[in-house]
Amino acid sequence: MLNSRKDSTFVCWVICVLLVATSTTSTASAADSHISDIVFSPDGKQLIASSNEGLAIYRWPDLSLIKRISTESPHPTCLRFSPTQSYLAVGGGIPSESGKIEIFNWPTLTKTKTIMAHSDQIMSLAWRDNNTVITASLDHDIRVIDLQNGESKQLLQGHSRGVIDLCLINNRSTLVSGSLDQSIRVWDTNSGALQRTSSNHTHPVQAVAVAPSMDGLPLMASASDDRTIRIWQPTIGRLVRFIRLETTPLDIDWIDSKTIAASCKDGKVHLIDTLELEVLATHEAINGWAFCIACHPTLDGIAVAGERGQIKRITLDSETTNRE
Amino acid sequence: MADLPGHTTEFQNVTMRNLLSNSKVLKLATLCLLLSSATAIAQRDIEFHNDIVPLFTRFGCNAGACHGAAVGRGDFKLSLFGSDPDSDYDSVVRHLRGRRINIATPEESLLLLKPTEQVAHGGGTRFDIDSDPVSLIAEWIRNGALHTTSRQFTGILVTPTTYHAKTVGDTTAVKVTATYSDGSKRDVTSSTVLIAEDNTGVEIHHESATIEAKRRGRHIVIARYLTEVHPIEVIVPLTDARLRRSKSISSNFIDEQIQSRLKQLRLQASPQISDELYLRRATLDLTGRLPTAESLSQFVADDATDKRALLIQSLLESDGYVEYWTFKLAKLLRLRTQQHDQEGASVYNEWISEQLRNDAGYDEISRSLLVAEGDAHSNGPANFWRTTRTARDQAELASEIFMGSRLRCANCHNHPLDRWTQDDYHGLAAIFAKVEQGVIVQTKPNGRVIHPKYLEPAQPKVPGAQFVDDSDSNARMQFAQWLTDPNNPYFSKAIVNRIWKQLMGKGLVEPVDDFRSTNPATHPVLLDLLAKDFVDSGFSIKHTITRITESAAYARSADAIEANKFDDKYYSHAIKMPLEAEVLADAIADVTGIHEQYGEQPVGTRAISLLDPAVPSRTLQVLGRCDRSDSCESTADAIDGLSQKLHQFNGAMINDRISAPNSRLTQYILAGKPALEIIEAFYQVGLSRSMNDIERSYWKKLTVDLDTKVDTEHFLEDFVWSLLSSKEFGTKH
Repeated sequence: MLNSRKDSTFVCWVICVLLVATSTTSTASAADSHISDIVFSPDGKQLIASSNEGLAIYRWPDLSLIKRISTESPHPTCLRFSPTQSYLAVGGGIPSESGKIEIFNWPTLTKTKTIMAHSDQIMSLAWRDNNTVITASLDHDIRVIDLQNGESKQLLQGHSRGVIDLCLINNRSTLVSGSLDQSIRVWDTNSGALQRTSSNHTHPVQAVAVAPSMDGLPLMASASDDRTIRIWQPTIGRLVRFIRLETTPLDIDWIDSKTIAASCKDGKVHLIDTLELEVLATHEAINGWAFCIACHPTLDGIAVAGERGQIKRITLDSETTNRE
Repeated sequence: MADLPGHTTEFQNVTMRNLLSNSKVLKLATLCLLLSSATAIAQRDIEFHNDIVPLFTRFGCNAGACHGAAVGRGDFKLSLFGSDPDSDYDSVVRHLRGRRINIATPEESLLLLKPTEQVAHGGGTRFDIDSDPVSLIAEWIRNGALHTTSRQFTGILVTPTTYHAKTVGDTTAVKVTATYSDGSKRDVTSSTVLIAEDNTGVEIHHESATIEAKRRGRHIVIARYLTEVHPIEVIVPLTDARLRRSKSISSNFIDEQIQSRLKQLRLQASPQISDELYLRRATLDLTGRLPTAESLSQFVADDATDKRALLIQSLLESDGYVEYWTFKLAKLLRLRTQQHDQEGASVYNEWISEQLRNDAGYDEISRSLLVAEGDAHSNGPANFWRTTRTARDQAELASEIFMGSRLRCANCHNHPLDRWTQDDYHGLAAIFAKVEQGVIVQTKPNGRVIHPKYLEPAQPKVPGAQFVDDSDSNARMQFAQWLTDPNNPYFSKAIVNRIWKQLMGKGLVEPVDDFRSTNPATHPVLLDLLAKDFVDSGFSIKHTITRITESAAYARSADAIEANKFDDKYYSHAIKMPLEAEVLADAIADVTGIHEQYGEQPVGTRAISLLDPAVPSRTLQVLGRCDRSDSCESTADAIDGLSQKLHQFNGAMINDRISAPNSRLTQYILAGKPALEIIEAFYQVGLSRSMNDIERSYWKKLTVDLDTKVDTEHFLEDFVWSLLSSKEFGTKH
């Protein structure tokens, strides 16, 4: 779900991370409310978490609470930094009533704008550019929002159930959405046209995440209640390969161009080699469902969060790292 | 982002309901007030399993028409009637990142806003905003929406289990007590759902948890709490009449039980039938054909006091019995040709015949079917494994045939009205998945089915009993042994109920393939006794047939009397049943003397002997035969349908045969029989009796006026037509 790092950070990376001896180091407990999403600050020194109680800012890596910020949404559900990293968009809303975007200045965290965008909760959002946010909602719709005037520039309709996650590829010109309707759809963000639909998943899709840039066609991953993580080349609609886990993944993030971290319903985090299709390591993370996961921008561990305010840091113990 | 002015904007083109209306603010304020005063409830731990889930059932949230549907409703899925509280907890607390609860502000939880209709709810208002359920749910959320359960729910005690109302309008209070693993009990009457199976028979007063008898008869009320469902029997005498003491004809336990129920309902039994009718009834039941004129005259003339018992014994030893009950078992087992493979069906049919001829125990027959392997062209029972195409279908088939249970209801969710779970359904399918279903039936060690809940291969399991080691190649044998064990609670009851239905017209449990605790037998003790008697006899079908046919209840007239005219299921009188399609077709052929040719079968082949229920036959099609691709339990409507009657009255099925050159009628006419003798002969072969005095006088009067031979022939043709079109001919009565 999270991918706040600049794509350029990952260009030409080839990371072979043998994650055989990772260890957990820190735990924080914010409140009893579930943590719906987490995102690292652009400098990697803080972790922002959303819950029914608003936003909570933690220091990384010790996870000590710095401060709390209230949100208008009783259910803030997703967090994204703008491409220039000067704004933080918070998506959420009131279940079954409204989907709302709140824009905060970073790092002051003063609110600059609130936009009503949907008739149900926003579950994911992505910045197309500094003035445009794309939102996915449980009202089945995807909207392209002009932040200047708060208007919906495009309405992307096609999913038959709530849209859970989004990610942008191809220099943000192509949008990939995953939905409860079990499909993954690929859209042209300029025209709003639906380019293709993939229906390989047999259960609702929980997360989509684009792989760090590399040569060739864009690569992304999707995680579903069917317990599979599928690797795609969405621009040509090709399912490259998939792995079935022993538990249900709820969120995924790419550690490097071939390794995915998945947080799951059993509270564990699985590190998956997407080429060999094997689970490299499994880590006990939290008790209950681990709703969200985020890899640190400079790979200083992984943050995982979920039920009842639990956040945990998992350290990546890399034996070999090659970067071009 | 160049400029982001610090104010809130709204889309003009998006319909929003985001701003709370004044009324909603007031409602929320009320709710907050309520929650703050809900401390009384908070004095004890509120448990999701034991406190919250029952509310979902009580208010219909988890019913099949709402969120209990297989796919849920509005992306919110609950297990049907709370059969899976763990998954319900996930749906309520965890799905969509906890969208449905707000621990920080419980009163804003979707779980409360929807059923109180503070936001639009397709299911309307389920609780009032100031109701106890709202307080309870809110307090549970405030306490952290925890999953903890301090005690395990073990069951419910329901009183009364049977309510004998004296008359319509009488009421009784129901009390339901939940029991828990720590030995504690709790009155859960207010959280129990009471459902009348027939709203016109019983009215439920939910506020007071009382039931009121609204109509005479026996009615069932279902009490549902969490996963438990218990039937409450409500009995209101069908009449106010004082029962005449009837002379006991039989000391058969069947009659004791039937009589006991009739007494409860104040029903007078109809008189016993004549020897003629007994012969017709027994011959049809045991051989599927009408008695011949010769057997009729012999039986009537016989003075022996035990001639009915001797008749039954004789019929059970006849080829007709083997042929007809082979047909019955073939229908039950859905025997039909598979992909035009006549050979397998023939071998299978012959094997069944052999079992019946030898009176093999039904346990032995069933075991042979369940563990069969080998070439289906040489090993008859192996064809049982060719009846369906998948292991799941086979599990459904086996449960319906051998257990009288619709295990299929547990495919998508735990059975809402019975004990069966998804583990039972997919576990049995997992046992059967290890069978290669083809011409060569053999073990398939790697066979498996995926459990839809866990998305893993289902672990083989004997329904309602133990799991079986997945590597155990003998799992089928384990299931067969469990099934045919004398103490198995389903097996014997299922088959004796089917036999009972065949002979008595209606099963003690109806439908016969829907045994469940919420569908109790009309005579539960009788069913138990019949099953025990069946087991004690060595699972002998012939024994149970004998036992039933020797009862006074079997020999009761089908004509209702004033004192039992409202009875349709307590056997105060016999039930008139239309003849099965194949039996009727054979009867028409026997009476007219003209047999239909079925496909390439030789002329004279009886319809009940056809291996292929799909063999082309307009007659059988119109008469509503069962093609055996599915259960054949519900063909009564087709048999007695309008199309059949029209075809019978106007079509070639009867008309062309009556006057055919070699028909019975033509032969009689050619032989120079007087018209009245011909009429008498047809009475005997068609109705299995002689004319009574009134009929004889009637027909005599009509026949004496016939002037010409042609007039006589036309008259007799009309007579035979009317006889074959009569209800007396077309029914077992």
